[in-house]
Amino acid sequence: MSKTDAQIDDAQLVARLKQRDKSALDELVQIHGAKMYGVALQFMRNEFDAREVMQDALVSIWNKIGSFEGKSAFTSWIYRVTANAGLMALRKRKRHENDVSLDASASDDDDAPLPSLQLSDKRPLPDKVAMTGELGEQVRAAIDRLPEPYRVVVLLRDVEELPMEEVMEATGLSEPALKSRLHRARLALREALLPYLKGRDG
Amino acid sequence: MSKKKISKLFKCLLHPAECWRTKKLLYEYVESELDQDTQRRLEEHLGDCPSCLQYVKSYRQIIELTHKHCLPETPMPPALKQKLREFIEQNPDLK
Repeated sequence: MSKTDAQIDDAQLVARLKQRDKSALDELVQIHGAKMYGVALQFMRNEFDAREVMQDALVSIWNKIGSFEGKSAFTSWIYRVTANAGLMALRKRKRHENDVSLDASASDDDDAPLPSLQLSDKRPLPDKVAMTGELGEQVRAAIDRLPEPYRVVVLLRDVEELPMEEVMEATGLSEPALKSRLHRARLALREALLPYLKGRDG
Repeated sequence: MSKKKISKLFKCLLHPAECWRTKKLLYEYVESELDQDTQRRLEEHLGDCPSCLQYVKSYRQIIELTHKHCLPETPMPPALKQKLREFIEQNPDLK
């Protein structure tokens, strides 16, 4: 199978980064910055913090490029690095705020409800609208309303599709706790998005 | 309530223990973590119970939608591009 232009561009970027060519980092931002920014914004929800996450991600990419072996696509690797930087930034923010821990304090009791996941406007969208871009907005809004410990596991596992082991390592959660939290987050999303699902009947 | 819905509810009432079990095993089923016997039994139930089948489908849909709609490219504001360029040029960690 022949490589696409994008894959060739990425291969050249990787080679230049490994040769410590800093202009390749600038080029990486030009090519992949919009996606990295999207990931960073999802974690941080504001432009200023998202910029810090992107900067941290760029440092990580620069420092870790030697360990990138090309087993996964370079783009996936970049987004994973960005997602990890986002998670680290959230943890740092929590430490500063002395607020709810991302790791331990969320209830992972299967039967406890997730209280705060309500879409502000629960009127069902017309089917035509629901099947187009509007649906994406509803999905993103629902994820955004998840309590942070739940939002983080959804972003890492279901959005970024990191392997379970990596999510466990990144969040410090045990496997049962991670599974429980992910499951409860999905159920909460299902509840919130039920009006927009195909063939819905509850 | 439509006849179809009443029929589905009635079917579900026939095997409440299996419906409860399906919901309990939903995560493991969708993640393909069940042993063969348990999976077969659950799938037999799904064949009989439209309500549980719909429940499983909607759970899968949520996972798909989450992935599909949550990797948005977000155009960077020009000021951010500039800041990142300066960061790359000046940051001592990037040597």
